[in-house]
Amino acid sequence: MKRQSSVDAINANDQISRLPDEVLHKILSKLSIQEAVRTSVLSCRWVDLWKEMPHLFLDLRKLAKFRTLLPHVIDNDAVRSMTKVINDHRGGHLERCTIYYYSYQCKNRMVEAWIRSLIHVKHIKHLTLINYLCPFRPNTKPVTLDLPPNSFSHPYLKSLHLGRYHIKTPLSFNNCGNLMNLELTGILAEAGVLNAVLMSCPSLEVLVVVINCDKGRGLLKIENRNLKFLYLSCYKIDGIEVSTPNLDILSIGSLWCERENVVFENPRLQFHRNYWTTGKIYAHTSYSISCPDQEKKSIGHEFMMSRSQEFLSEFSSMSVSVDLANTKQVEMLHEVLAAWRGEMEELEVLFKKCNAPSAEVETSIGRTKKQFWEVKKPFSDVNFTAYTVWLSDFSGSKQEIAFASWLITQGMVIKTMLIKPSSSFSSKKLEIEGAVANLKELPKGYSELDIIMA
Amino acid sequence: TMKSYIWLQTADGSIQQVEQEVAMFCPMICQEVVHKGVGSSKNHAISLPQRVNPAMFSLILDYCRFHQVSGRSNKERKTYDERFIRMDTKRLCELTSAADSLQLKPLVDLTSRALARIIEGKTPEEIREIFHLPDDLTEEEKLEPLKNTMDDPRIRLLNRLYAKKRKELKERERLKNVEVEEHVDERSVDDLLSFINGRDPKVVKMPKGKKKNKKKKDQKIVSSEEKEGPEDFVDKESHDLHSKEQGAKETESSNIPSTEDDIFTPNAGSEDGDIDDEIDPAMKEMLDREVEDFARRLNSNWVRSLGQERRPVHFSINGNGTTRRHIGIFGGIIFTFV
Repeated sequence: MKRQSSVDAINANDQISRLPDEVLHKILSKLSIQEAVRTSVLSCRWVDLWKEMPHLFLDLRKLAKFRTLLPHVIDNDAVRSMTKVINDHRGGHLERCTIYYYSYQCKNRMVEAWIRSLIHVKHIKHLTLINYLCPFRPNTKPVTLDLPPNSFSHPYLKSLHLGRYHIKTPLSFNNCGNLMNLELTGILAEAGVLNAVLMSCPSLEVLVVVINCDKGRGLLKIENRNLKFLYLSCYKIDGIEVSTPNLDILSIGSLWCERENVVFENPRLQFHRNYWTTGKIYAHTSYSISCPDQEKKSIGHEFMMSRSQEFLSEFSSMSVSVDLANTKQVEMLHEVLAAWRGEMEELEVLFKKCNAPSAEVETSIGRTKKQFWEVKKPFSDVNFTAYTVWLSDFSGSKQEIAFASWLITQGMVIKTMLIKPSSSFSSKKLEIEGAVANLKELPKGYSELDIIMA
Repeated sequence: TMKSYIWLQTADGSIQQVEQEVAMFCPMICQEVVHKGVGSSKNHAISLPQRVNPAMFSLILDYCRFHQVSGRSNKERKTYDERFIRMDTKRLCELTSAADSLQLKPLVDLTSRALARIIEGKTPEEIREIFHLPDDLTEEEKLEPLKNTMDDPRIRLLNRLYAKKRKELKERERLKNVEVEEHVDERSVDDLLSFINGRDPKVVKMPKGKKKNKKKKDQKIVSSEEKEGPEDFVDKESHDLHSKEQGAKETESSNIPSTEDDIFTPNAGSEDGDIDDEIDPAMKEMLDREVEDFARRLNSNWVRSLGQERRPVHFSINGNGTTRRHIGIFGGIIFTFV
């Protein structure tokens, strides 16, 4: 069959083929990878489209066939298919590749090959590789990849997420100054190995560590100077030392170690409440809201918001410091509260005092936006609730009073609101007491709410 | 307060005025107003892109009018979207195009998802019919996905390099172990053995390697632990490799293990000799038959009754029963070789 020229071939009714590549890629991205690859048999316009998709999402688990669940059968189809997808993809525009698989589905050598191909040939920027335990094939041995040194060292690779692996040596992470984001979740590794890995990645801005140091305990040291966001969840570890001066957000999932052995040298994240004071039951996030550069976004903030489902979850707690007079910071706080899912156990808001006057914000239309305390119903889309709220460093300013009023009247606080006056405002003690008394008079969203001056 | 309006001109020449907050919801219009200062009067109406015809524009304005109001809950917005998206495929494509040219990302997302839902689970014939796609691929092109089109030379190179490196490392390890052992007083035993077997003592010590050699005999598969063959091909490659290895930077070359090369050849085993022994031959035969079947079907018209021919074993453990219904057997196979 002779092929007609592409111009003739476009039927007047063929609207979809006239859409630009990016839009068609978007459509393909909403299909499973199998369906996306299948579109290559549709027509000339579609034959190579999938090969330029910016994101490859390969979930081998969906290809697990019933017969391969029998212990003696090896599942080759899924692996072959994935390999072919990776090989055939043109690579040029490949930004991101996410691979999920059951550990029994792939031989390690194949996974190692994929890593090599994706990073060093296809030049991807973001790689996520997680192996899962199949409920029907419990293979409890953790997967150990045998990767050559510098495997993750490549100028294009910016973020890496490895899930459920045993990291025996740090060699594969040698020379990884390219990595900005590193997530190691469900990892089995010795503290010393992890320390070496982190030292090999000096440019890290975001670090998520969920590890089990069971075999050899040891002291975990995190000293990456550029870190903005850190999430820690460590099982069986002797001690942790975190010295990261630029950290905006410190989130603790769970720490199995004595409090004395945990040292956080982060002067900006000094709060009254923390993971230990809340009883070591809830995950706790400490966040010092700041945006030194008004134009650019805060990296830690952006990361946390992009994964709000994981990090801003129900039944956890948060301490956040914010300068209510700074519009941008208030916006960021608003974003965080709006994204919170379910009920928060405890929220501590520490009021920062900044001496610089806040600039009036002009919207693109030319009108000045009202500050939140001037609006009748601020943060109208915020639905979160907190069982307990601490307002620390309360100085009785109008913004602080407005904020507290909003929390009380909008039913954001369920049981207790504790107001801790700022020690440096001792002269205003009476004023503060007056303000608190007024707050107590406000109509409460939750009738059982207690407002206490701490 | 006086409401402000923005003046807009659609592709057909007609000019209309739209409430400012509604129009500004479209980034493209927003940019025109802010950066070029147009749209404030009838004479300075903003020309909308070609792809935005009046009918689509009216729809888009409805969308903007609803979503630019801030008080609405997520549930409300979602319900509106679901209802909004109910239209025939042709209009959906037109709307996607118009929304894209106005850079209205949330609407493009919404329509893309709707279009993806239409494509999902349908045969190529059905999809072509729905979207009026020309059937302009040649027979060979349609069979491309089945073939091994992995010709990325960089991948091959990386594979070989890696395999070679691994082999070297293993050799080094082996030699080290052998040396170490020779220092121990096992020498006499070795001598005895070699005398008995009339062979090189090293070979005796490595029964593992021997076993693998035997397995590999029947297969074209090249494993990184074996001697590579066909011989002439490898020698040529290793010459190139050698010079490349010495000259090239590490980041230049990359390969998936050489075992990969033959993976997609029918009747060849998988990446490891061991695995092949574990696939029972009946299953392999079934696989081969399925491939043949699929190739045939690609070229003929698909019949709806195909669904009944689905074999019960092919259900995806995580798959959602309804969406995977049409994929069934074919999804599994197609995907193997596509």
